[in-house]
Amino acid sequence: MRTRVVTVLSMLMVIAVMITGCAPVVTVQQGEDGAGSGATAEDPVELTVRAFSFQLKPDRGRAGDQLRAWAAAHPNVKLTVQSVDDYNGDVLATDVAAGTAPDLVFAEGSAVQSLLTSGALMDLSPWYDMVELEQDFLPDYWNNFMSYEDKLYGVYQDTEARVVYYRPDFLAEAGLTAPTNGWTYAEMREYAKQLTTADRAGMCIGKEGYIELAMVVANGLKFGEDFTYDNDAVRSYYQFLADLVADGSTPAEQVGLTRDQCAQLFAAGKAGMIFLHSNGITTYTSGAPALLTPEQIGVVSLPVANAGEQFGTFGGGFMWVVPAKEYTETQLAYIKDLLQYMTSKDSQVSYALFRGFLLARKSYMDEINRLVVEDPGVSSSVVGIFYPAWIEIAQHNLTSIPRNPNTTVYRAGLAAGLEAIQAGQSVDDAVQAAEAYYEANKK
Amino acid sequence: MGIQLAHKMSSPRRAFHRLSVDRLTLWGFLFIPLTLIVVFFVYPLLAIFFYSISDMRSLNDPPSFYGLTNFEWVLRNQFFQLATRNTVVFVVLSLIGQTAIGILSALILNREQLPGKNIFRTVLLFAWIMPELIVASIFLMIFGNNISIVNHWLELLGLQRVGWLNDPNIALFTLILVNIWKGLPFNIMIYLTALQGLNTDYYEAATLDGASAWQQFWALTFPFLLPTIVTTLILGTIWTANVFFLPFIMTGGGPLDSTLLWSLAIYRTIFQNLQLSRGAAMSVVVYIILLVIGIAFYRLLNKTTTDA
Repeated sequence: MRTRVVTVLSMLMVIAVMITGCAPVVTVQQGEDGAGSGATAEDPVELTVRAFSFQLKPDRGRAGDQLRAWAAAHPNVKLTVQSVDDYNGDVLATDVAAGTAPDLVFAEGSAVQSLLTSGALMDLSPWYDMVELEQDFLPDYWNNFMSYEDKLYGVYQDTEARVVYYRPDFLAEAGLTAPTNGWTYAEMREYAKQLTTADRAGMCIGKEGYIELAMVVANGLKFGEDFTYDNDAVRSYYQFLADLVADGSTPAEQVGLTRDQCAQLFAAGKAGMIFLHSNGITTYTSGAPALLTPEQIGVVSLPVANAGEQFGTFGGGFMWVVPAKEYTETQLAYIKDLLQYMTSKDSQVSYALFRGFLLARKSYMDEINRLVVEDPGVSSSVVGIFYPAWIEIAQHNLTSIPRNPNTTVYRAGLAAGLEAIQAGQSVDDAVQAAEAYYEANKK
Repeated sequence: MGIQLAHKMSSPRRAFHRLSVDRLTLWGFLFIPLTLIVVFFVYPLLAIFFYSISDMRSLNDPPSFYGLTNFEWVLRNQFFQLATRNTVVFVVLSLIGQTAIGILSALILNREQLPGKNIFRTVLLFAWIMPELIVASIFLMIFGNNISIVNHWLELLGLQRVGWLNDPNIALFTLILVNIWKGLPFNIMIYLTALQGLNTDYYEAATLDGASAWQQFWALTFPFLLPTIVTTLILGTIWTANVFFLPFIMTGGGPLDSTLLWSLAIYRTIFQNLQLSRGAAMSVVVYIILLVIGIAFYRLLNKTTTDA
């Protein structure tokens, strides 16, 4: 009898340990010196912050350092930092629905769209001067991501531009001069042809919904209102891609490659040009040894269909949000303090220069613009070298993602058509593939 | 007499007491697995059924009854039809490969005189326990578009590169090859274990009667293995139909949806297109299909066991 009771109790204990011991969290170590600011309260309190894994890595993320510094300045706060991968909107939505969301979350802007309109995020407007913020943030981010019905639901940390990266060394070999912002499809096609050799593709397209979207919106598509593909905006983009394929500038091997895989080819010298988000190149310029030096990188805007047309880009970006749930007064005080610390000028400028992200807040960009000119340490770094070019392109930011349940599906449909082009099919086939995808998956 | 009566009266009480303790212990031990089954199987299954008849884009939407509209959408959806075709091809060819090569390998490993037999068995074990995610990542480097070890060797031999994962006509078969590799260790170990239960006297008698190896296989080995084969096919069908990481990591369902399987179609619907209820309906349809196949296999298994 005693043996049976002991056995049952032992099994229960083992299962309890297994269930409770599996949470993938990282508890921030306190005790480092660093900046901290603002309010302290006497009661001990626990806070959970969720951030992206790339932000928290010691050699590539400044946010981890900043969170540690804040925790050190608030010794009565037990700060637990959860690390998640990019595009964690579904994880966040699940946690909010389950009531297990963290207290402060760094999330991709478009991923929190449905949360923003469903009351799942806390209104932050009491903590900020809304008039000042609205004037200071780039309009698209304010209107489309941060605010809704005169309330503030998130604070943007950073953004990025979609650009073309090219290899100046390969251009020099081919006797080509550097392209300029606003270059045309025809010019880019010619460059790609000239850069193509036996063991190098002139261009690696890469499947990435934002690039396709930026191109067709620049061509005049009313994104969020027009959900068709059989129009000049989409067709002219697909025709441009089909021309690259027909010229042999993008080989059949590239079918299905992502933008990051294209970037790997670019860094390895196997592609002369790529589409990429602006700060994506810093992955290949960091590390020892770096895969690319600044001299091997050139940046220019996405091309336009016809000369004289306004080129555009498409900013993604990430924001801090606070899930709506029950908090104590003390917790709210600390969340507010932490949020304002992470979105303060010092923190954001430091983060942006470290990671190569652009800032969506105009007054903060002035500081960066000053540093890239006046501070030798900044101006000689990879980020400092390219920051002015990124900002120039980012000023032409096109409309961001409107709140419509089918925008995600439309974007995926564009990518389906792109894949058809990469596989050597015609523009008509690509349009049909995009339409078929959209019709099959739209809400 | 009095003493005997007293003895007779205490026995039923003692027996009842013992029965209660035994029953309590039994239920105590059963409680844990039953709880786990309810929490991790019954509840999610009921939740999926509920979502499939609702109209929800995500868990944050309030549920509302939507009838069978989502199921209509699933059955008419061309991408689900494509995923079904791809999954059927994937499962059938994977199982044929795993079963044929598995039995052959087991027959070879079952030979007493085979040198290094124990080393092979150990290597098999390591291959079997390798997680699907790691297998997919490794084979992405072997067959992939960027780093392609196979294409590198083809080029060194003066041959043309092959679009293992980016040619729509080939990509699915590349995945099948990898899946066969992944499932082989399990099949080999199962058949090897079964073969070791076979009485070798039958083979000696057959040899004396002049039966060839092929005749011995069909007359002795195959009928003996048939119940094991059917059991392994049941498990293999369900596992293979639910494979996710292999296509997700290696191809993402492309190129041109040529490797879109059920698992990816459901993932795309719920997490990329943000249509929870439609994805749940897809899951229910897949579940019903696999349930029907499972029942059919189970009846076949009963028949083969009875005949044996």
